[in-house]
Amino acid sequence: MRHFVLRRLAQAVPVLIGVTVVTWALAALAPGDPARLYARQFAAADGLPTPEEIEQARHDLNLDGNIVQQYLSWGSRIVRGDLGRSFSNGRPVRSELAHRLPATVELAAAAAAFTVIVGIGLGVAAARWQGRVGDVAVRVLAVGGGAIPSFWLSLLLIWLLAAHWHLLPSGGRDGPLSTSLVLPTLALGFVFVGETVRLTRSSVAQTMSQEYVRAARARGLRERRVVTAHGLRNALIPVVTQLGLLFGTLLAGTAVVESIFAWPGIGKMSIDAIAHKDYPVIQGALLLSAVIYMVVGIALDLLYRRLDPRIVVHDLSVVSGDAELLPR
Amino acid sequence: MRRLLRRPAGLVGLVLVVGLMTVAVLGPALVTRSPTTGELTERHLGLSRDHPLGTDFLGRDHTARLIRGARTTLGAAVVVVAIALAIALAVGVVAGYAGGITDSVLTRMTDVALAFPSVLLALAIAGFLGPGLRNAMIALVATSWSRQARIIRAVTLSIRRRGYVDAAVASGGTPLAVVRRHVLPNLAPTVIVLATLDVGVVILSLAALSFLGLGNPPPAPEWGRMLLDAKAYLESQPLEMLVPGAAIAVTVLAFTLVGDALRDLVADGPDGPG
Repeated sequence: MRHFVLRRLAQAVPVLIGVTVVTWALAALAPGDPARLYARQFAAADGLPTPEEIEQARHDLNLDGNIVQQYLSWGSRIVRGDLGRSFSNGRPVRSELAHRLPATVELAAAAAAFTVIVGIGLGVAAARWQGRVGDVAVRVLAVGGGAIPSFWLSLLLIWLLAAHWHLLPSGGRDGPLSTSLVLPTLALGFVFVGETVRLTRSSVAQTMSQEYVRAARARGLRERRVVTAHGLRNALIPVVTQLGLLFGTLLAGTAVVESIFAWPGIGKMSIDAIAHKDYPVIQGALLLSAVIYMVVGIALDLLYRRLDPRIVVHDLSVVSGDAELLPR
Repeated sequence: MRRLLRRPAGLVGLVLVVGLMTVAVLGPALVTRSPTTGELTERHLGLSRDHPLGTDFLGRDHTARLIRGARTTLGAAVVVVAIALAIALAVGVVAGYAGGITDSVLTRMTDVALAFPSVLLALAIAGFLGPGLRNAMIALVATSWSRQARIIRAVTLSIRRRGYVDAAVASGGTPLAVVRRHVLPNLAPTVIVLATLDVGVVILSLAALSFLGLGNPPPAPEWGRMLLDAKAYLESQPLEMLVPGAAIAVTVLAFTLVGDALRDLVADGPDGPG
């Protein structure tokens, strides 16, 4: 196990370096001169920076020297935890991100909880009702739900629950765990409910047809106990790992929903930064979400190994969910 | 094909996909009204014989915009998927077949691309390049090849281990010939499933980008853009938001249904239950 952990971590290092190269290259190769954009905030009232100011900005942004030197000086700052300063308000990107992170974590956690409760609940129900009307209804919902864009669902929710019936606030965030959390949670979580339902349903159905479940029934255990103690426990292993991956996706994928609901998290911050070409903020948000995503992925691989030691790891990353496409 | 038709969900999906493609191809011939200009006196009209789906805030006909938008959206999605698949095939087959250092390098490259959350990366790329359909498409190619490359590599690996590939190599087949004669034909079912499912994903992402103002600039008709325009009139004119949203959902659903049915067929194998 320790060997596995070390190898998995060692493998993450080149990927992490690659991530910084891509993040840096995005800004470096983008059309337009970052130094000019950066210098604008110090410029006099007429808004046009002087050549000296642009030269100074070029130096501040590590844009002197050739491309390798530029990357290395940028990279060494990043390693020390300095993500630069926002082009639009001059504040350090790191504190801006830290300030916004709790809101995004709250939203992603709420959406994940919603997905788990509704998705696993419906999935188990569908597996129990296999072939009956309830099962078909749940499956139609699962397939249909995945096709609804989250931004459209957001608009529908705002229209019905906020604008029409005035039940809930349509945007903003009134502090932790307030009613303003409800609509963004629904909009963000719903998209993943379908996937969870499908996975749970097939996993539970498969487990319930195993010999040990029949044995449990034969021993005269009550149906409820058979389902919870024998069926669910084993069926949920693949679901749990998939959900971990989902949490990573949620945490990183909140951008669209956050911007519609004016939710003050990292996602809205990145979209605003994109609109203003605020390079350091975009880079900071990209780096942060890539790191979160990678950490979650590694944690899941380890968890999966613990839950199911039978797994033979060729390619180290086990959790991809694409296995069903492999030819048998 | 016949087995695909026997699945009700797959059949519904296929009919929808063919219908949508037809609309996209025939688009301009089907609409008499302009999708980009309207009468300001005809703003926010409801359903009527003249405007079957009403008009928007500039009096432009929704039906015309929807049909012309189908062409843009579907066309762009198909091109994105085709380019991304070509890249994914090259990377995945070479990595899976060659193994060794080549495989390690290509797999790490794929991992780097996969390490970013795709929506955010696509937004960032489109944002750096500036708004426009072409830039949005570049952003989507850049973020969707890696998912497919990973799967294609895994499938290539499993094909590589089969007896007939060993036999072909032993009898003196060059790598190129073995790949062409044995690997690619066996990859075809996987690639078709991937492509179909991915069209749906790309349409969603494309609509998201144009909803955030990173697609074609107005007045070009595009579904995501129509939703963005409708957002401002959410309370008074909900119809304007329902029409393009439903169009996106139905299109994505159609490709998902066909893709799912195809995936079941591939999983069952040629002799499996139909």
